[in-house]
Amino acid sequence: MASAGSGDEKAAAAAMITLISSDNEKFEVTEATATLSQTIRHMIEDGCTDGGVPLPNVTSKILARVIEYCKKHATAAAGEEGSSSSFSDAAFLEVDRAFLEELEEFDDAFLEVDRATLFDLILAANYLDIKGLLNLTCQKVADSVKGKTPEQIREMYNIVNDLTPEEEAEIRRETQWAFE
Amino acid sequence: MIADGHGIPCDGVMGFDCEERPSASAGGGVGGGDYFGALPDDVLLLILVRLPAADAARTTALSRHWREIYAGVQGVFLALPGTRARLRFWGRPRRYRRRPRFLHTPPPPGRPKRRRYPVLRY
Repeated sequence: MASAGSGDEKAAAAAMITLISSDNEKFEVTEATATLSQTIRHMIEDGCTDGGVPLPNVTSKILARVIEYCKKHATAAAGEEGSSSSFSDAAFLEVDRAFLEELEEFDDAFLEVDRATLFDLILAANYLDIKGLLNLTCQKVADSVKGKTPEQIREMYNIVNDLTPEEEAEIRRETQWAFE
Repeated sequence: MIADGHGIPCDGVMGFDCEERPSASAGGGVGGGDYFGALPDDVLLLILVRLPAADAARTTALSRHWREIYAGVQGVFLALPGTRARLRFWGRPRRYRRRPRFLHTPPPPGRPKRRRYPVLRY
């Protein structure tokens, strides 16, 4: 039974899905990589992935980055599943820790992008429903906002201030504690 | 696949958030004007809940739209955990704890007072 299960997993891993970006570029990915996206997972479950999955909201540049992330994290997920059976084994735990550190380093390097790309990644992660990527990118934006004044944030992200001076003064009075 | 009602083909901007916003109209989505303007509200909420309380409160002074988003977060803050969860996390409130041993007053000297036990009579 165990062998049959692993056979199924292998078959699933071997199945390739074609993702088509908005500029008609095709990306071949394994099913394990693609199912990190809940949106694509549901499409696979519904069996409507034959002939490729068109993603009209994602450009090839962003899709390539997203696939890079998914590939890395899909192998991580597979590794976790594999090592869970030998959980008590100290050697395996060591390997796991090293792998997790490597994953963190990958995430840090992955986020070294310009602001526009970061926001496009957020949009793609939201559309494709990739929880890990969405959390990662939102955290990055939150960190960049931390400790800044509203003026600095507005300048950073080109936010148009549509509050009247009176309204702004009132808000500042109400949230005095946050400005101290 | 139209980005914020400008008729510009999507350039990494999703068409699912069709809501027109004054902030988003400043530029053609991401890359041009307001970066946050292209993000749907639930994503802005995800960013906001990752901020410390003071930083989150300061976003209300950014624009009208951010003020509305923050009003949504306050609802989340109000959803306090139930008593059971609080007890599990913080333990019992102090007034229910037994007094520590060193604060214990010794019994008065002399014959110990007889304790009265309830007696069942048939």
